[in-house]
Amino acid sequence: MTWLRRNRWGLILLPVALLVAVAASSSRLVHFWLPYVASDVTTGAVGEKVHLSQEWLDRLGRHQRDVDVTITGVERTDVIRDWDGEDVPGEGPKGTTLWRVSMTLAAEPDQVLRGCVVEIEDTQGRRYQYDSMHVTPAELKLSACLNPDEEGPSFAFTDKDASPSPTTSTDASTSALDTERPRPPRWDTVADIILPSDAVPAKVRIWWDLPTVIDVPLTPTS
Amino acid sequence: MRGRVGEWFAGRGRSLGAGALVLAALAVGRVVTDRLPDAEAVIEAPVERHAAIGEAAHLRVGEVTVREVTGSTEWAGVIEGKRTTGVWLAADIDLLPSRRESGISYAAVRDAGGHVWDLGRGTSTCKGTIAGVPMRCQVVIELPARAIPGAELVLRWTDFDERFDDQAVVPLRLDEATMKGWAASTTPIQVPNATLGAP
Repeated sequence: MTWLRRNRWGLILLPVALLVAVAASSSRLVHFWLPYVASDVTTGAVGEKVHLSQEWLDRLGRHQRDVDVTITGVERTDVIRDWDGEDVPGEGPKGTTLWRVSMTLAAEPDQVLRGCVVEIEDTQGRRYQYDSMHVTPAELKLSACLNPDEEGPSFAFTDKDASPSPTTSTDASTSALDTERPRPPRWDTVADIILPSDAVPAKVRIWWDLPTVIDVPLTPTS
Repeated sequence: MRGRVGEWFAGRGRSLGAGALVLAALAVGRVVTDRLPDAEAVIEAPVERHAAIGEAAHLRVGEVTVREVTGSTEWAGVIEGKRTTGVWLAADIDLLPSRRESGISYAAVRDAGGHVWDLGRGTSTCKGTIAGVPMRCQVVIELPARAIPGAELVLRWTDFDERFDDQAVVPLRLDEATMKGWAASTTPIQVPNATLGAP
């Protein structure tokens, strides 16, 4: 009986054992890495509607987020959309260029969509987020993907937010805290982002809670 | 007779020989382990990029240049200022960040004796960077009013985790005369907001 024949079962099971060992040591990857990076990516194209669906948590419990996002264009701009929703002349620091990401979104008015992040990645892999810091005048609208006065419902930050008021749904699945700023079911908006003048946008990324993100690669003509 | 010796070597002797070899290997392993530095300490230590004042240190998070170092007993920022019975050391910094999160959140002076004075009551205005956009900013650190032999300024993007990353190390000359001069100065060091963009 040759050595190979005598040890055939061991040899057959060896790769299986290696795979099991690797899987068993992946808990750090699963628990401490993948939830905190953009690991659930839906890739779209400019002008194409992309659906984002994810579960998220606040004090009221688990909620479902469902929103359609269409990036309609990315181009240089010399105006910024201010907190009144008006376009006013604006600029970044010397040596930078403002880029405007135009988008159309659609979601049920009871969806909580505050706190979204819009980011442009350039051809060198550098990332630039929507941020009012360093924009002049410092009057950028609050949310990258919502319009002023149309932000819709907010999160439940405190017990007071979470306690149902007479006009608030007690159904935890909606988290529909009443709002004085109702949001239409479909809206167009823009996000103005500072990039260095030598940067060439290559991708737009939009997300609410990691790891679920939408990526829209850009071509030089978009 | 010869056959018996041969049998012994093939049987029990072989086992003993193998055991001796294992023991020898363990002993050699122990010696090697004892003589090498602790592996974790080595792999977790930050990589140090040494640069003189006026020279750029090339870090993963960008280029850091300490342009000038000054001192006084007082600094005045946009919303706060502080006095000390020691001295405030202020370093003027040029930063060319390569990433969005490339600010300087850890700044410290360390000496040859292992003492470290970090930001503490001081400040760093080197935050809120835009990748690829030059920033001119300052860090301010509180020090005792005495000579600090072998002083070095250490600059890093985070004060949270120093593993697997690099930091700038800039030698300083903090001799008796310099520190006395700074300790006698009551003119506040001006600490404005950082300026962004090409100068």
